[in-house]
Amino acid sequence: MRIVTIYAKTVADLAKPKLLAGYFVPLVAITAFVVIALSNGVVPSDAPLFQQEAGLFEGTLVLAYLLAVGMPLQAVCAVFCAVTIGAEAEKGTLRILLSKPVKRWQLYVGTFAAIVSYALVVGLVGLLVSSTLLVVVTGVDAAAIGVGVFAALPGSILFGLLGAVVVTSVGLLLAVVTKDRLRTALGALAIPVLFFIFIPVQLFAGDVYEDYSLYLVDLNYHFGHAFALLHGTVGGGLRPSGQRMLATFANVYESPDVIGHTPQSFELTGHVSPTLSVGLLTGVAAVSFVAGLYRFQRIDV
Amino acid sequence: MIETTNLTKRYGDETAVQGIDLTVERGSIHGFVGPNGAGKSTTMGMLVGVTTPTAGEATIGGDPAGSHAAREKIGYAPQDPVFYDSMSARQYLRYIGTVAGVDGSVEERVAELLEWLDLADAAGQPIGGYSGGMRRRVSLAQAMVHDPELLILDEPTAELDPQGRSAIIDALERLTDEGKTVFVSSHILAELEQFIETVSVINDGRLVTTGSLSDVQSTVERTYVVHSSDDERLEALLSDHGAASRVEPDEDGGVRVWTDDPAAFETALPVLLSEAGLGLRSMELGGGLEDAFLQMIDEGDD
Repeated sequence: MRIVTIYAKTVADLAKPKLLAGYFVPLVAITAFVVIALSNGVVPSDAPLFQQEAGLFEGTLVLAYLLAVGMPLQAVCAVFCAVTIGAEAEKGTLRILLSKPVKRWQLYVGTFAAIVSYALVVGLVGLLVSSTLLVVVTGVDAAAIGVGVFAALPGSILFGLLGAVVVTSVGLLLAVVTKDRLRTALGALAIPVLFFIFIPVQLFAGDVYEDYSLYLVDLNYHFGHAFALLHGTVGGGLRPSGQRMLATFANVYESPDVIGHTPQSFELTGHVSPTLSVGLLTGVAAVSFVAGLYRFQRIDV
Repeated sequence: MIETTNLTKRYGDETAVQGIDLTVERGSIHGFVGPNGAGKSTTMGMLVGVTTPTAGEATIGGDPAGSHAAREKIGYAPQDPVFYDSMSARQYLRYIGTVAGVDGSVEERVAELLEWLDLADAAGQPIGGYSGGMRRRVSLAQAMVHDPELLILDEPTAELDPQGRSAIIDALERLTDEGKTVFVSSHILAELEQFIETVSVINDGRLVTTGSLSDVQSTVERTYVVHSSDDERLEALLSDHGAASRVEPDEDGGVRVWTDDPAAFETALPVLLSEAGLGLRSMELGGGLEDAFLQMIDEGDD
């Protein structure tokens, strides 16, 4: 009962219009630009159905990976950590809660579960809004939506869950250690920033990226591996068009030698194995969660 | 109800609380007095279980402070009454009550507390719009929501107007009538001595004294402020008299007299005045908890 109450109260705190606007307003604005770019040939409306499906599938993956359940959702999770335990510790309301006969793990786990599950709902809604924009703007045949959009959802949702779990685990650990909203938010935002910052690095400074093995700390690369692996596990695998997206933005697959040519299947760049990348991300999440819970059991407020 | 042995808290090289040995009897109302930064809130935090002691131990009703069993016995109101300001008092108390384990009867308990602390009319309004006095009462209500045996209240009357202070003091007196133990800090000592039975004085993180209010007061000299028709002559007369240990002009007029033997002084004063042909305009008795506290702090600083 207590953990349910803590969960419900946390979700109510997160469902503030200002917080939601911070996610949805930039998302819709940026999505509109991306959709216009995608409608210019990537998602052909006058091509055969299978090509429309492939184009729509790739477009949905781009929107999912880069926008709806990618960096923006991770940034939202960082803010959620700051406004829950970070704010409670800073304001002093946590002192009152911890003085009550409640098990501390219930407070921590209830808050963690609320942030992750609510972020996932927000991400799913964001993904559906983005996909709807894509379908409307490109004018593809409604028959292409099943394969083009819905087939991309399971893997994308799992990917959103992984990102939310990683950022929330790290964010709550920072909240417990710093007891400060701003430092929690800035610290946890390092994850989506490290996700984003390597996209231009590997696009425009590929040699430096390879020579200095930057892929080891490139969260975009590791999250890209996770994206491919999760879609392979629950989404029936990435089609070549999806692999091309990850080749372009995440350096997960080798880009084709001939521009415009889409091979049957893309080769992995293979700097590290996809399983290792996923293990690294889940390891960071698990260690951060356990460390945060341990510190929370002993927190002085 | 409260037992501490060598309770100590250090933050790096800085010692906030040093070796506190304290006993508070069940059913008593105990004042905890000290200047700002003396270590009152840190000590209370260790009793409540939100601050981990560096050394020593504390028990609440026989259970280690901070344990689940100890926290079931404690209701705590911090110095700054902080809430979720968008929540109403009813929502807030319902939430805190459920977290504290008041499951089935939480609605009843919340309604009872709102009525008891005269908050029922405003119970549906956001706490952010409450006055300072109302916020203090909500803070007291959250401390009481799970019907604890012991209330630990950190400056519950701070920043309140006389009416607000009176409402909180009335509530505390009713609580002790019900047999609750109250451990309360306040910087308004004259107010505290109206209702406490035992007191502990803390300064620079160390316990200066602890005991019954009358015992603590009797450890210090009594002071009187005497106004007469000629204060300069009175000062000279009293300076030569054995009943006064020290005599000084008072900053607000009159003569301030310190004495170890109040009875002898009160007998001697009318005789002195009469023999000198002076008239007595007024005489105020000092030597309350505030004087005792100031004297102990001064001695500690020396």
